[in-house]
This record gives sequence, structure tokens and C-alpha cells, in this order.
Amino acid sequence: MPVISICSPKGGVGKTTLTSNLAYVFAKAGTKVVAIDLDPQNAMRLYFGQPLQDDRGFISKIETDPNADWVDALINVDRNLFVLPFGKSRQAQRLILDAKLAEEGYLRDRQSTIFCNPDILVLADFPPGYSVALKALSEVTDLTLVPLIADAASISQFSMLQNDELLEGPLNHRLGYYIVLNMVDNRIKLNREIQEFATHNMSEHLLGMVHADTSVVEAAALQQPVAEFNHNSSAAFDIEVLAKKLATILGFEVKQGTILINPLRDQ
Amino acid sequence: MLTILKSLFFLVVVAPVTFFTVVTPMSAENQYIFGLTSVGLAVLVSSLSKRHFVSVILIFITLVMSTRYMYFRVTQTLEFDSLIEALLGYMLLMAETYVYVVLFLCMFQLSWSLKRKIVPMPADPSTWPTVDVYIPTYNEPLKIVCDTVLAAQCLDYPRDKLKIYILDDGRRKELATFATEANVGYITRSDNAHAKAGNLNHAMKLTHGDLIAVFDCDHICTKIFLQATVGAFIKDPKLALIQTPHHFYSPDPIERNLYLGRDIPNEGELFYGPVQRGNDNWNATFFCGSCAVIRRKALKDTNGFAFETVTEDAHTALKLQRKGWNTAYLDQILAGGLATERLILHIIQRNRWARGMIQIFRLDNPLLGRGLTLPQRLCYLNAMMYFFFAIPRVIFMVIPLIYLLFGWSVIHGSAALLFSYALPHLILAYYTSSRLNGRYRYSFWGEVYDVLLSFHLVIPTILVLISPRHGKFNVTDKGATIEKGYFDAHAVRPHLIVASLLAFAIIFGPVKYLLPEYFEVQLSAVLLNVAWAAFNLSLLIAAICVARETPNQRQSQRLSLAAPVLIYQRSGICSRSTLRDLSMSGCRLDNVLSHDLLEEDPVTDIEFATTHSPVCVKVEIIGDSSESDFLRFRFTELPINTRREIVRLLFSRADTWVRPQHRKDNIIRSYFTILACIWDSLTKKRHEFEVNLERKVEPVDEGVA
Repeated sequence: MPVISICSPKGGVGKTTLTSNLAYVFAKAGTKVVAIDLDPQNAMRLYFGQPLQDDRGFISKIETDPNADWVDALINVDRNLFVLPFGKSRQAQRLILDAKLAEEGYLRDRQSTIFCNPDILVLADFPPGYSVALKALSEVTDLTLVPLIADAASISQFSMLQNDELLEGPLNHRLGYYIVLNMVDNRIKLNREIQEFATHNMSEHLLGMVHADTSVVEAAALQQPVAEFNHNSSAAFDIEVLAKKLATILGFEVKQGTILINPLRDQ
Repeated sequence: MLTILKSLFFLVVVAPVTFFTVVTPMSAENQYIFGLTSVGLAVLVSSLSKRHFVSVILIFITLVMSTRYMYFRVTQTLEFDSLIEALLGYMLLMAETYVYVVLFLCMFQLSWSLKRKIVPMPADPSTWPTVDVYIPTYNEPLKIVCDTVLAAQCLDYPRDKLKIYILDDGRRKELATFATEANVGYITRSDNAHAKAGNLNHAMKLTHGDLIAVFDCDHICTKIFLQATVGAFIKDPKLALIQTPHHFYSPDPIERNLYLGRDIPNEGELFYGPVQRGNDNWNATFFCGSCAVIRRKALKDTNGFAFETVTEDAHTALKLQRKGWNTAYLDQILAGGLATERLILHIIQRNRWARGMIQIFRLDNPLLGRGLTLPQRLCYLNAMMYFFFAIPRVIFMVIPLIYLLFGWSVIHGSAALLFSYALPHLILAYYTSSRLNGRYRYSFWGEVYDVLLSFHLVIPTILVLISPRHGKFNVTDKGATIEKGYFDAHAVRPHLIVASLLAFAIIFGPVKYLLPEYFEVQLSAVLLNVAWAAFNLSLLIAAICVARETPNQRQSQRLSLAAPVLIYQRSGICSRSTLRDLSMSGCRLDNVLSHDLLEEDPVTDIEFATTHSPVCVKVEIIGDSSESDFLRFRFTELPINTRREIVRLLFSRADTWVRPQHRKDNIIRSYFTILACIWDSLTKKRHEFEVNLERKVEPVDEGVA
């Protein structure tokens, strides 16, 4: 039932990779996870082993039945893991979706099976920068995760986040946002310095970091979770650490290797 | 009132009883009964309680027994038939008197030891005194000096209150360059007058810190060194010096060549434990040249570091104390250094110490002059007296030869009577010191250490006694490697000669007894001397085994250390592994990579997850890893900033040198351990020496939760 949004002011920072790998980690730990792709690129499904030609998605029914429950479009990847692909879409469909998302209470009322389900953890992936979907989900999101790359540009993005510029308002109304420094290469001095900067200036918003690790790219190419591709992958380890921290912040209980969800919001 | 009663009790009861215990002569039989009953009583009392009060009683009984023995020796055993026997007899008596005096001083020094606690620093760092860190060096290679300097830079102390200086008496360009690169001060001078003391005094004129911390160039400090020591200076404005232990993380020649990996306290542990703590109790801790902090103001009173002798450290402390300054000893290992590599270098170093201490004894005798309390005088005296050990030790070594080879009797009277007096005296002396210091020095090992050095120290000791102003400072070489094992026969030539003579005497003595038509010897005297010779021979062989130098090829010491690390391959794949050991030149990790992949995608970098910040090092793989559980790497380049982080990881942690205590001494076991060491050494068994820092590095917590 907690909803985690993964967004960023900038593209190519590894949002989709982070979303899918977090989904794998939580699912493996025994949590029912739904990974939702709200990016029209419709790429996330590939991380879950869906064939390229399979272009199913929740958007396909939007013209015929705008209030249809997205649950029907869920694809079961694993016992605990479900993916909700965006689907192949046309401009007209995307406009309808944006209009529906802009409706007050659309997600809460029409899509309650997913967004108000006490038994599942939702991880939502977005296109870079501002999007209607991001604004709409901010109403139901518990925590927003912002991956950033540890380069010079990220410093301006820190201040953007601090001033709530992305949505011209808070990214959610519950636990706020957390930054993940992604693709960190400690061999590069600038990377280390940005990390130090973030630790000193953003400490309450810094969740952690993920090492730059080609295993991630190679795993994606093979449509595998990173941990499966390289058992000792440093990125996989870092993502697992992030998952543990998220569980703590969201109030999951980790018991005997499983993560049990404690309802956060009052139903 | 109570004190008067106590004094009265001592005067009326204890004093007369003690007096008669000492002087009453007995027959051999009665003396056996009396002596062994006393021993039994002492053992019984000792086993009752570990309390200090019981130790004091034990010390008292021991001293009474030893005094009784000495009284007996002086009054009943000094009649000789010939001049040569008289000469040798008085020499033996002299040696025994020395041991007796040192026993008294030691018991005094060790019986009340102070366990000083760290004085916390004031909360406001702006009130902390400024500190100059001096790292004097003469000819030690840069690779040794540099880690010491980098570790000093890791000290937890306000940046604006800490200045680090390399004091280079070798005027070396590469050191000056390094100092600039590392951003520390570099001080050199045009001459090398007065060696180390002169070097320190010269630097004192150029720097201005309130306190001066001195580290020999191989003593790598932990980050808490200053915070653990400086507080004492704030608390006690009359404190001139605080000394901490010298801990060696590389094995000294005796550990490497003779212990062969056994858990035995090394030579320094007695001194840097009970001895200095005992000194501290009487405000008589002395400076040991390194790992200490000194107050500049106090040094001004003595015109800087003392340079009249070759042990400037102890003499400086003595001079400070004469001026009324206090000294302290903090028994916490806050720095680690390199032990001398080879036996011959060990002998040269001890030679300097012995000469220096005897110089002070002659030039500035602690018994004379003003400014010291009686306990201070005795503590300093004992420190100097100790270094006279060479002559008595050699006398004890050769005395059994005299009777067995020549039939001369150096002690008058029957062997049985002598033995009945000597036995309780010896047993009690060993038993009591085992109880007092058993965790710091195992029984008989002190004898091995002394025997090793004594033959080489006899002549220097005599020369310095006669002419104390001679002798120059020599620097101990460290950090060398030993390519191949070899036997340093030169270093133990006197030992070999005396050992052969003893072995011959052990056979010749009984042969003499078996041929009564040619020789006139007594059975009991032969047995006593053979036993004595055999004991001496075992100590000598142990010492000779130290000369069998075992190879030590590792460029820098490798310390076991479990910590998370990341391995970067050329393709960009980054995997996690666990560090198993680390040195300044390379490391060993758990092998987590498949062999086939390694061939085409070699490892290029390793990242250490230190608590400070991540550190990446360029590496190349060494050895064949295909079958191994481990990957071994050599660091290919180590820029100063990276090197500093490795020093921080390896040496700088507060608990770097925290060690479990040695198990308690057992006199009999200890002797058999020596025999076992000899056996293993002769049969060329060797245990791997490993410095273990397991479980000391916590995995770093990534980011903030």
C-alpha cells in the first residue's frame, strides 16, 4: 500500500533501472510489488523480461472505457511481482489519460485497487521532468525517490528540489523526497566531492548512493535483475541497502528475510 | 593513633622476627625444612587471593628469604683455598649482590603500579593547547617516514592547533619534496651535532607549539593519540611529560626466529607495562624517545633535550624531574612501530641503550644531586642498574665451568647446605615475579633476552663505566627485508663457544667422578654444577636459535583486516568483495570473480569503503588466482592523498592496537616452552606470523537513512 514515486528533473539518470531493481528486491523479500510505468516510452516492461513486440498496457482501453480499472492490465512477472506497462500509445490516448489524471480523485476512487490496496507496494516510474502523471500521483504518493547523477549539474537540481520547483509544490504530502546519487564512480574526484557536498548539504534528504556498475547495463540487456546477472554486483548491493532504508522509513517490518508491510495510512 | 600502633607493631614484632629469620644459621636439613615450609606458605597465601595486599606480603617473604641467602653467602661461604678461587668466588658474590640489589629495587618499583586513566579534553576546543608533532629522522627510507607523517595528519585535533614537522638530519631532497607534497613542515640543519637530541633542540628554536609530540619516524600513531594525552597537561600544570608504550607490530628477531608464532609476551611488554606503571606511581616515568608528549615550557627549564649521553630520552626526563616537573605514563597503545629486523641490529640498539644508561649513571647519578624524592631516585637507579646485567649474567653462565673443568671451588662449604639456602631464595624470587608480572613476561624469558645480549655488552659496559664521555649515537636500521634465511654465527660466536664448553663440562664433570683415582670431586657438587650448567646451556641454545634468521621478504607488514571492498574491472563491472589483509603495498580479497572473465576483463581499481570517504586505488593482480579462494593485488600507483587514506584505514583507528591479554604465566610450563621453541627451531618448524586486526573495521554506512 505505500506508494513510492521515482522521478527526476533530468533524463537518463537511471529512474527505470532503479525502479525495476527495487521492485525485484522488495518482491524477493516477500512483498507484493506493483511496478507502474507512467512514461509513454513504455520501456520498463523490458526490464521485467517482456518481449519487445508485447505492447500491452493500461493505456489501450482509455478511449473505450476511461474509468477502467488498470488492474486488468497487470502482468504477473513472479509470485510477488507485477508490472503495469504503459502500453503502446497514440497522442489522443495520452491526452485522455492526462485529462483523467487531472480529475480530482481519479486515482483514489477509480484506481483504488492498486493505489489503495493495503497488500501491495507500488513503485511508479515517470518521464523526466514535469508530467501530469507526477502531479496526479503526488496526491497518493507516500515517498518520492529522486535519482541524480553525481555530476556538476546535480548541484542545481538539489536547489530545484529544495525549492519545490518541479511540481511548483511538494512532491507528495507524506514523507517528502529522498535523493539517490546514482552511477557514482568513486574513481572520479568530482563524484567524491559531489557526494561529500550532498552529505553535508542535503543529509536529511539523501537516502544513499548506487555505484556505477556495468553489471546494471548488461543485466538490462539480458532482461535480468542485476543481482541475478552478477551475484556480487556492487550496484545490486547498493539497491538492496536502499530498499532496506526505504522499508525503515515507510515502516515495513523486516522479519526473517521477509518484509512485512504495516499499513501506513488510515483507511 | 593507628599509625603509631602500626609503627610500634613493626618495631617490636616484625623487625626482630625479620632480623632473626635472616641471621639464624641452620643445618642443611633444618634449612630445607624451613625454606620449603616458607615456600609452601607463600604459595598457599598467594593462591588465597589476588589482592595487592597479598602480593606485598609475598614480596616481603621473598625479600626476607633472599636476604637470608645473601647473609649466609657472606658469612659462611667466603673461605677459599687459593687466590684464583678467592678471585672467582668474590666475582660470583658480586654478581649475586647485583641480582639481590636489583631484586630489591624491582620489587619496590613493581609493587605499587598506577593504572592511569585518560584525562578527557575540555569541551571547548579553543582552549586546547597548540601541539607541534616532531618526526625526527636521519637515514630511514622515505617509505617508512611517509606513513608516520600521513598518520600524524590523521590525528583528531583542531587543524589550527596542530603542526607537523619532519626533522631531517639527513638533509635529503626527497624528504623535503615529500613534506611539501603532503603539506607538512620540513626542518633540517647544517650539522648533526648531538644527534637526535640536537635535532629536536634545533627544531624547538623554530616552532612555537605549547606541547611537543615526538614520534620516531617508524611510529605510526592512531588518531586519538593527542586527545588521549593532552588532557593530562591541562589538568596538571606541572606535568612535563606523558609517555605511552612503544608497540611493535612487526616481530622482533626473538619473536620471529625463536617464538615461531607462539603467544608469548615480547621483550618490551614488561617495561611498557608494570615497570613504567610502577615508575608512574612514584612520579618517575621516564621518556623513551618516542610516542610521548612534552611541555615546551618544561624543556626550557632544562635547556631542551639532554645531549650529554646517547640515551637523551631518559636523561631528559631525569633533568626535568630534578627541576620539579612531573611525568606520567599512560598505558594505552596509541602508536605502532617496526621492531628491529635482525639480531645484529637488535644487539647494536641495546648496546646503545646500555651505554647511555651507564653514562647517565656515571655523569648524573640519580642517587646524587638535588631535586628528586627518594622513590624517584630508586626508580631511576633501577632503570640504570638494569643495564649492568651483562657482567653478572656472563659470570653466572661460566661459573659452573670452573668446578666441572678445573675442580676449583668458588663457594665454600657443602653443596647440600648451599642448595638448601639457594633453593627457597630462587623459587620465591621466580614465583613472586611470576605472580606480579606473569602476564607481561613469562618466567626465564628475561634470562634468554639477557643472555642473548650480555656477551656483547660486557666490554662496552666496562668501557663506559671507566670513560663515560665516550661513545656516539647510532641509528637503528629498520624496515629492511631478509631475502634468505641464514645463520648469523658472528652475532652469537661467544654464545657458541660458551655453549660448547658447557656441553663438554656436563660430560666431563661426571666422568671425573667416575675416575676417582685421577680426580677428586664430590658427587653433590658435581650434580649441582651439572644441573646449573645444563640450565645455562638451555638458555644459551635458545639465544643461539635467535641467530637462525628466518626470511622476511615482505616489503611492508601485512595486517589481517576484514572490510568491504569494491572491485572495478576494465569493462566497468563493479563487484563487492571482502578485504582479508592489507599492507601499504597491496592487499588480498575474497575471490568473487570467475577466472575466465578475469582474463579478458582485468581488475583495474579497488575501492575501500573507509569511514572517512571512499578511496580508490589502481591495482594489478599478482599470482595465479584460477584455483585460489583469494585475489591478490599490488597497488600500482599510490598518490599521497590515497596513501593517507590507506594509512587511516590500516593504522589510524583508535582501537588499532587493542590486544587481548596474554594468559597467566606458569613457571614450569614456561621453561618447557623454551625447550619446545628450541626443538622447533632446530627441526626448522615454522609458524606463520600474522598480525591480526580482524573485526576492527566497521562497514561504512552508505548515505543517511
